[in-house]
Order: sequence, then C-alpha cells, then structure tokens
Amino acid sequence: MAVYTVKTRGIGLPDYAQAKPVGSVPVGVVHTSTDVAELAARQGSPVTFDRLGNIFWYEDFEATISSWALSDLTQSNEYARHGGLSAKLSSDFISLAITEQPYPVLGKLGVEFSFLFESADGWELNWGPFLYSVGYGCGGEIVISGTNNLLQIYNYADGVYSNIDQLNLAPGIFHTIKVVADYETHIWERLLLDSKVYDISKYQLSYIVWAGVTPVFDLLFFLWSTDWLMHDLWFDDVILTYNEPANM
Amino acid sequence: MSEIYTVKTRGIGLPDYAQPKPVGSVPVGPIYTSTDIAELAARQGSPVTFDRRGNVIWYDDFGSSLNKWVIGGVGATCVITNAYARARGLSALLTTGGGLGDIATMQHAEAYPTLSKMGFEFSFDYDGNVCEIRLGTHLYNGTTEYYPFIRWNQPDNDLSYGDETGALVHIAFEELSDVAFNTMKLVVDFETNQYVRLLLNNLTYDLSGKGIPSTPDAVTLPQLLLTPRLEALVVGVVGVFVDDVIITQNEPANVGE
Repeated sequence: MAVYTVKTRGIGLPDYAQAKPVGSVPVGVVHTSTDVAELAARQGSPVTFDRLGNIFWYEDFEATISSWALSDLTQSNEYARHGGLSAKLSSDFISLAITEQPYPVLGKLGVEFSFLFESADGWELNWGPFLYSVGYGCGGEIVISGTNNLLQIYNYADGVYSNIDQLNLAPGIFHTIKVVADYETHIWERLLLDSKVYDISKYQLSYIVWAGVTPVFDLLFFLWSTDWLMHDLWFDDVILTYNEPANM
Repeated sequence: MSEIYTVKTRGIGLPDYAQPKPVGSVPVGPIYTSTDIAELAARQGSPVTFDRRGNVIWYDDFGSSLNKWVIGGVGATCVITNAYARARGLSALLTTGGGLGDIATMQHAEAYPTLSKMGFEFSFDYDGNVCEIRLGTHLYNGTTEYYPFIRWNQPDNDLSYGDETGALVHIAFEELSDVAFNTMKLVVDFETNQYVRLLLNNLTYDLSGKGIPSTPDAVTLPQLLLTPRLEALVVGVVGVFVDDVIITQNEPANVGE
C-alpha cells in the first residue's frame, strides 16, 4: 500500500508564519493568526490532529460515558490524551463499545479517535462506522491487529480484508487514527494513522438494502482477545465530522 | 499634565487593534478591535501566550492529572501543586532525591505527526538551589534516535545546546529569576535534523544550521519524547516548578528575528 505524504497537514491559514500581521501595522514580537482551528486547539479542543471537516460530535470522556450505551467501556484515569480521563475497554474474549449519533447530511464523513495499549500482543480491534439511511445501511470495517501488527480494511466489493500497512506502534502512548468515507458513493476515501496517510479510495463500503431503519450514524468497536487473556485498550478524543474534503 | 487626545473613530473591524482608524465607517467608541485568534486564545485562558508560532498539537497546563508523564530518577518525585503556577492555579513540582548529582526527569511520549519544524516550550521556576535544568526531546523513527537539548547551568548561568555529538556548545550567559516562571521554547527541524532557534524569555537565539545529536536505534518504536530534566548540584532536595508544556508542529523558519 503506497503511502502519500501530506507535508502540510494541520495547517489552516498560513498567516502565523508571517513576520507581520495580516494588516499593515506590525504588532511587535507577537505572531498573529486567523485560523480558528488553531484557536480551538489552543483553547483545549481535542481536535488537534487532522483538523479537516466540520465536527458534528466529539467525546473526550471527561464527563460521563453515557453516550456509549450498551457498551463495555469504563471511564479511566490511568491514561488521558488531554485532560484527566479516557475510556477503557477490557476483553478476554470480545467486548463492545458503540455510540449512536444523528448525522447532519450525507457526504464524506470522518471518524477519528486515539487509542493506547500496554502490550501489542494478543488483541485485535475491529472497528468501523455504519450509517443507516432511508432504505439502506452503509458502512465498513477496519482492523488494527496487535497480534499480527497489521492495519487492514474490509473491501465489500470482493469480500476480502486487504492489508493497508504493517504496523510498528509503540505501547504506552496514544496513537491517533482517522478514516474518511463517502456515504453517497459508498467508497472509502482516506485513512490517517499518526504520521501516515493512506489513499483507500479503491475500496468499497458495504451497502445493504434495509427497509424501515432509522437514520443514524453508528460507531462500533469490537476488542477481541486472540489468546484468551485479558487485554485493555484505552480510547480518547473520539471525533465525528462531516463535509470532509476529497483527497488532495 | 499631558494633553489627552481623543480617538473619535477607533475600534472597528479589520485588520487589527493597532489601526488608528476603523476600516468601516461606523465608530464604536473607545474600544480597540482585533481579528487575531492567537490573541483571542490568550485572552480566554489558553497557555499559548509566549511565542504563538506553530500549530499546537499537545499541551499540558497541569490542571488535570500527571497521567501523561513518566517520572524518572532515583528518589525523584513529581506532584501537582498549587504553591506556584504560571497561570490558572496549578503547576507540577519536580524534585530530586536529595543527593549531590541526583537527577529528576519528567517525560511525555507522543505519537508524532507528519514531521516538520517542531516547537517544544515549557515554563519553569526553580527553587533557588544550585542546579542544572535541561529541556530535551527524543525522536525515534525506527532506525535513529535524535535527541536535541538545551541546558541552563545555574552556577554560572551558562546556556548551551547539544551539538551533533551530544557535546555542550555555549550559547550565552543568562541569569534567570528564581521567583518567576521563565519560558523556554526550542524549535527543531526534524526534516533536516537541525536546530532552528531558541527562545528564552525576551531573548531569541538563531541556531539554524546546527546539527542535532543522534545515535542509531533500531529497537525503540517510533515516538516522540519531551523531557524536562533537573539535576541537583548540591546535597539536598532540589525542586523546579514546571508549567505550560507545549508541543507545536509547522513552525516557520527564522524570519524577521
């Protein structure tokens, strides 16, 4: 899988780099900016990683986990990407975390979250977004395998899990992953993991004719123990976006 | 008494508060305006007030927890304290074990984003004891460890950086207050593996073109570490209050310094 490098990820407007402010009057040794994504980051927003898209929901686990009904998640103060708390998913076979959120409009939607593990062996995280609209359901599955050190994606067109990359993730630190998919064309768009960006626009989302479903956006996490021992995964800063741009 | 002058039309819109006249046509009274979001962040409590360049990817004002830090050093401790703070009430107090030459470190690890010129800023208030303070970073990319660092030595006020071999190279002699928080920001280019600049309070040093130290390391998995470090140069517990640790990416090159 080819990796393409986005050199300028994270930049909004470039004006912070200017020796002078946007206007014509210098304001001294303070550097100015008009990028509100940077403003949010400086005020404690968890949206610091990719910054593309419009946020329609996020969860930093600092309050409660009541948005994660029917889940095996627990709040944890053992680790946090920002603030003091994260959510912990523990499994010696399979455990589940799910949140259901209304979505604003169809189009390219993004899912971002950060995760931390203490040991890379013996677990696999199958996760994915699934969107229900009038008359159908559409979604996909991505696999982060600690056991095999693999990042995989499920391609609905051929029913095969394709390897995206061999993983080399350090334990004990938060890694951030974001996937964007187009729910109008039912095609994956891109996948970001820490410093890497993958073009996954050749893979299809699953599409199922499904009458009578309520329009909603589901995000599902399944943590599998592949050695039947207890494994923990910590989650933080789950972010859902819409109006994501196409691959540039 | 000086004559008071009246600014009749001050205060509207673009581009900034330094304009003597508003851009629009409707005066709003004696209020100055601004469109600078870095200033908005600063006014609303963000710890990012010092240099304001770069995109912030992580910061810690120690308002929540120490669960993002690993403490190292024999007998070293680190606690969140309300004794001193740069702002907002709390900081972290890092202390050594009590012996001559004891070292205390606090280390934060990140999964690094797309590499670029990255900034590492922290504020510190040492307790007046004889000590050495370092701000170090470690970038492991799977084959090599890069470990640029800055050292300030309290006995002679020597400010130095680590060269390509890790040896100290003198930058300047700077006396620092032990009753106020001092702010240091180091910018490193991890695409060229060179220093870019060092800011210390009101001073800026051009370090461009100077290589950063490195050593082969194919064992440590890719990650970025930020490590404030305190060394006691006397017998007894030595402490430093640490606050507002900030990591940035996409730092601009040295211009207009």
